[in-house]
Amino acid sequence: VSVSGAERQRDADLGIDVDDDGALIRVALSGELDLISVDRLRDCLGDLVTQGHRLVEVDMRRLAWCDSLGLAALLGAAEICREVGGRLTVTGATGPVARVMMVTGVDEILRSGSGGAGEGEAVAGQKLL
Amino acid sequence: VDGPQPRRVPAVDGYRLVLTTSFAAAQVATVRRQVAHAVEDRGLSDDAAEGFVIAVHEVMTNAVRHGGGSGRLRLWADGDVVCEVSDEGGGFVAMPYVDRVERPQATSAGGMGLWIAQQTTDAMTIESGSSGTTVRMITRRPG
Repeated sequence: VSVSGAERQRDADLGIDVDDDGALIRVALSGELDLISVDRLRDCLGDLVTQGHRLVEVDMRRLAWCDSLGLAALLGAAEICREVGGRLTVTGATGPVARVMMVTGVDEILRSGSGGAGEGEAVAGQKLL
Repeated sequence: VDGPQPRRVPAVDGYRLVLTTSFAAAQVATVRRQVAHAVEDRGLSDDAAEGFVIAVHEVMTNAVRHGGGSGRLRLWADGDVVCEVSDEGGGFVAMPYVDRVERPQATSAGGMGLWIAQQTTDAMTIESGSSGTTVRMITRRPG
């Protein structure tokens, strides 16, 4: 298969915009999350927790594609958050992204308001701020 | 034996081959777009077409990650759409992944790709051995 360099670059395109409002880290994704870009997201989310952030919200409104590897990375980051008493939630998935989340049940696991160890503490901490 | 009958992908004799290509990691997204384009306007619902493309992407990803880093893809269309993805990796025990009815627990360890592919197509078959794996998926045109 013949693929130009430009095409390859576009395929790898995942936008990660991090916004820290003090209580909550909001990570807005755009483009495509797949085997090419998943390591970058995993590293980014891991770094945020290492830096001390405990409440992470991943906004997927502008994410056009997410595969099973992307979902596994999100679940892994959520586990790391929970281990330190925090919480990672996902919002705004549409189209094929919402579809794979529903088919795998990841939507129920990472939905805002779903349970999970540390949720009580995290919410209490947020109110104090 | 009671229980759900296995869903089989029929032979593709007589189907029209509309795409044949090979891919490695860097081409998965591009080939996915080619497949999406090729299944447009063939009478599938938007949902069915989207699901088929999701499945093809997952199976290509498996070929790259577990099947030796690359694979070959063939796509037939004749109302129904059929896609075959082959690799020359070491193979795996396919039986646990075929005709599953219970959703596996989603975990960070992965293993969700073939479940997704099964759920977003009408049928999927897997042939796997020490010389490689071939996965075939079909989505049928309604009516």
